[in-house]
Amino acid sequence: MTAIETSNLTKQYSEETALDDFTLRVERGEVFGFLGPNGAGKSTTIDIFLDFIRPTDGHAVLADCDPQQSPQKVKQNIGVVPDDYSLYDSLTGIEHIELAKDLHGSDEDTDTLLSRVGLADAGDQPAGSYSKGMAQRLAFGMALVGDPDVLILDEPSGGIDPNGVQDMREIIRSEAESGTTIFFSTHILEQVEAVCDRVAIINDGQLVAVDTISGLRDAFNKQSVLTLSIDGTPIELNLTDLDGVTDVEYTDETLTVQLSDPQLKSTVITQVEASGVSVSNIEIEEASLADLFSRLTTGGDSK
Amino acid sequence: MTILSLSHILAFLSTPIADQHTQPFILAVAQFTLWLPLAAIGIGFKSIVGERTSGSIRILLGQPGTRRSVVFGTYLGRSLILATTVLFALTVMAVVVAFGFGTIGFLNVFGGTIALLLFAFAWIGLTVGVSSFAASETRAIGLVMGIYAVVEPLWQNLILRLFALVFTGTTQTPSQAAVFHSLDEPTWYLYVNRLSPAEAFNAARYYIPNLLEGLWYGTTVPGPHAPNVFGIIVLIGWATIPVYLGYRRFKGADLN
Repeated sequence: MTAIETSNLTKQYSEETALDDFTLRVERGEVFGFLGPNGAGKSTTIDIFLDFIRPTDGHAVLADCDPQQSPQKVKQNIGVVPDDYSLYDSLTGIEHIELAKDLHGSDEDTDTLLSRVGLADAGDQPAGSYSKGMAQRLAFGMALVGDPDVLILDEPSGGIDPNGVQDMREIIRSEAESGTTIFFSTHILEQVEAVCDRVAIINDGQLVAVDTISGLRDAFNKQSVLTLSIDGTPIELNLTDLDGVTDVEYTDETLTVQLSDPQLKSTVITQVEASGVSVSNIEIEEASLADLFSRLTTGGDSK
Repeated sequence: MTILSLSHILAFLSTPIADQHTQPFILAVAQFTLWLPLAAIGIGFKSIVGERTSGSIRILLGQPGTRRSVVFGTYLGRSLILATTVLFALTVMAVVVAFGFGTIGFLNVFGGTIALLLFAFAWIGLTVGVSSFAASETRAIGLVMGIYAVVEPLWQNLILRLFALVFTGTTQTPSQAAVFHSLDEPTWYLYVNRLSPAEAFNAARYYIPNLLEGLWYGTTVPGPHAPNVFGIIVLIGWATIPVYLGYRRFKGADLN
């Protein structure tokens, strides 16, 4: 079974490209984090999975079916908490679960489902009286109806208290143990670090990276920046000849050296001093996944 | 809605007896012409677009179920609500009319009810269709009220006059009074007038009981047949085509 696959998925609006040639594959049974700043294209991707919107180009496969060709089959096999949804204010929690059961043709026990999401005591209240966190729990409960093969959660922790986030992680873990593929989007790095096997980072509608958390960390943590304050202009200095120096910049008696091999720091300093200038200050900045991600989320200068 | 219908019955009963005629129920049913569309609009205009703007459609369609079942299920559900209300109001009206006139005529009640239900389905179909078509509630209410204005208050004095200009070269329209029983009206008028669901209903509420009486007693049914059958087809058209067009649009729409 293909859990989730997208091929060259593109969504073009008249003035902007929400999703640009996006290709991704999620294996069966994975807990997959979909990480990106707000407006990066996460919800666009998920909305295509649910056939809420139609791609301009490319296609998606969920639980072996194309959501644009056979949305009914896809929705039979997946559970979803979309973003920007609202519940039916006048229906109770129980009635919401019953609605989902009717639509799935499922005969699961409503009380069991409600207590799994921590709403055992609130099931007979109308959803209009629920807090954002309770509403999110109920939506999660509806997503669990029908024992889905793939669980899709769009920003599942939005509006939820820390306790709720913890509960939700527990449910995600236990669903994953029973073989359910979990795909959830978030703009918060800590959330994917806590539960995900693999992570995709998306920005401006484009895939930035896909790897395990430790793989991503290795890849990004290697980068470090050495900033040296010097008292003159270095001559006959060819740092870029060193294997592992990616960039050198000299401005205002400051030399900035980008390194992909952190071991080179002392070699660089020795060579600079050997070129006839004295070094008065040394600053070392280690890049990290968190830096990369905060650059993306704050819309700063991404490299 | 019940209060509305009761107030209309009272208004009807307080009109001079001389104005009421040998088919009192059929005449009483005419009270629905103006306000039933408004009731249908009230019941139906938010039905789809309201779920779309609130976001509950994203919860609903996140579950198994197609856009087709959402539109046609909503159409069915809202039709039942309107039909139930209409049947309740008609029952009250039938009782009041029976007491007021001593006689009511089963075929008049039956035929009048069929005509009124056709009129109700025409309006709920139009309204649910518009609600499926529009992307915002403002557009939905604007569109449905615009159609209401064209086929109800503006129909006789503006739209028909424009048609008259096309067919006869003048803006004079035949008087409305004689149309239902007369063959004297120009052919174009007999047909064009029935394009409005209200006029098609006004013709059908006489024609259907007359047809039933003809079948029941084996007598000749007074014509004209073709324009009246056309009027019934028009009502069925209003009940089905807008909701189909609305569904087509909704099916292709981005729901975000």
